[in-house]
Amino acid sequence: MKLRYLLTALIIFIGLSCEEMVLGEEPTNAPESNFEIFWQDFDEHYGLFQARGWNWDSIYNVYRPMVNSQTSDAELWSIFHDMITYLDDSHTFIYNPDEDLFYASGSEDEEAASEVISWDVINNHYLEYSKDASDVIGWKYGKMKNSNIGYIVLTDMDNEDPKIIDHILSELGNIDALIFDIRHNTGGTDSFSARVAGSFADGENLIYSVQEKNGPGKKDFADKTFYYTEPKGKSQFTKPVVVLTDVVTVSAAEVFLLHMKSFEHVTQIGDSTAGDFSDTSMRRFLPNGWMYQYSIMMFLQPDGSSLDGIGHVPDIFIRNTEEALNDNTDLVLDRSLQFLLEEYGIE
Amino acid sequence: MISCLANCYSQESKNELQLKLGYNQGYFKDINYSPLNYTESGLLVTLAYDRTLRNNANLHFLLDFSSGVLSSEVSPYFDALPILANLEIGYLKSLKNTQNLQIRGGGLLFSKADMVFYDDTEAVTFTFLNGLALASNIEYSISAKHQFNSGISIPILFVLARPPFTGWDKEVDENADNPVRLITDGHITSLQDYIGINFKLGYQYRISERFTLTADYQLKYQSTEHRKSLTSLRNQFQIGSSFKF
Repeated sequence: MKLRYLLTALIIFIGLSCEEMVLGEEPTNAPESNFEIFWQDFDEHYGLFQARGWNWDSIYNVYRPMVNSQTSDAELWSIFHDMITYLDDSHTFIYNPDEDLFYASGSEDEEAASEVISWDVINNHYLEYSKDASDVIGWKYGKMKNSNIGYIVLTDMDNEDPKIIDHILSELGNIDALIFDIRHNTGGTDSFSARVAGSFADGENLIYSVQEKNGPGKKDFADKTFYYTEPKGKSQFTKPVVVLTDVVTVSAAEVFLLHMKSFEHVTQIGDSTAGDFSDTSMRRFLPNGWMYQYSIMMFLQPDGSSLDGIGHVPDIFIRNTEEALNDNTDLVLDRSLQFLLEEYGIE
Repeated sequence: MISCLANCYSQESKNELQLKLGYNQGYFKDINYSPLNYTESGLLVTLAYDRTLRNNANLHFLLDFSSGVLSSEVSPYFDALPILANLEIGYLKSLKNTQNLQIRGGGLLFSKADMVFYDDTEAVTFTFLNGLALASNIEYSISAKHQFNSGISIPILFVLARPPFTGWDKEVDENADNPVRLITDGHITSLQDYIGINFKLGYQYRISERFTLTADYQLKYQSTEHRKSLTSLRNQFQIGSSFKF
């Protein structure tokens, strides 16, 4: 008899464990519900409204009336597209995996689309030699033709041990100057950037602070965490360094530049960078099967100003052109060589 | 957390080693991770050691691990990897000891890591709990070969670590390779922040002096509003065997 009671109790336990009873109702997959979740999530978590001066409430007022139960997926996609376009933040995107649709805010930037670069031109017409630092794509180095100037290109800030920079500098030997090319660098992790920059550090400089959102209010941010440059490796390269940038240079690559530009011997040449510093949120999920992501923090310079939406403005501005590249000329590299000659007498 | 099993069959054997395999089915909703409801399924393995002390008290070690898939009805693209690991060390004093009935009560020191990974680390959530739980179990022997047992444990004082408001921050990022730091990076709290109930119902069939077959059902429930609402309930079915020595 007791056995029967026990088995009955067990069956009741399992039977009662139905999903909605335990978890509560799931948000409905209706256009209005998807809109509300999407807008609200940004409203509470997006970290750059203040830094960029965006008014997210105005976005609600404009777009919410456009959404009703009859709104199609295509229309809702277009609305979300326009909402995040307003943010002009390449760390923010929407993704529909069913249709394989993806849109990142700012990806229609005409300036970004016009940035051109040719590794073939650099390899064949500017470098005496070039080597891969490892099997991982992204690190190449060599020497400029007819000079004692080193060249390093890094296309992202990840996928490799950052300490390899010390090996590369050692391989380049006793060079007079270095051109560090981070044009088209798509970012990665900030700690990677910090470690690479550490091999060029001339001391410990306060370079930026980070504040993450810690509550739903627009001004709810955690206390500042301060970040400093720090010499790393056995020795640091403190001869003249030119860092090449373009508007594609983004995120952790811009953090790398925060480090590098605090050093006396570093000069930025090229175009302004993308101006997207913040780390991104976790992937977010909607009842209609779409996903999205956004920026969650404020990066501030020591004086309290933000470079988000602005980017690093170069010390010397110059942009490549299709015509020049077709002529096997990289205008940014040419200007860098000219700068090193004029400023330091290095050729 | 409940796996203190009988040793009343054999007065001579003070030690018992158990290995159990089973199936984990559950429900999961963590607003920090997603507004959606998820179901969880996967395999579960448990390794436990019990030692009977003087006065019939029980010293108990347990390690269990489960993993599988966390899925949403909304989209197959939302499938994620859940991982649950639990370590506990307990001492249960004998409260009643008759020929057929054994009742014990005491405490457990435990460390629990409950994590979800979507597309590697594109989305992550976690609940790390380290602390003390109250526990009790009952063993009822029907005959020399058959025994039922049941137990319950409730965490009462612990360090609770949950993701930050934004789900991810520099601290998590910079300590991603330092799990000990993340697991212990919480605050000391109690039932006002987290409710967890682990209930077990088990059956044992003794096949020899030393070997016993076991079948268990466990219900694991947790709920917290810390940072953001999390609720999960797991039904776990296991079979295994124990060896007394």
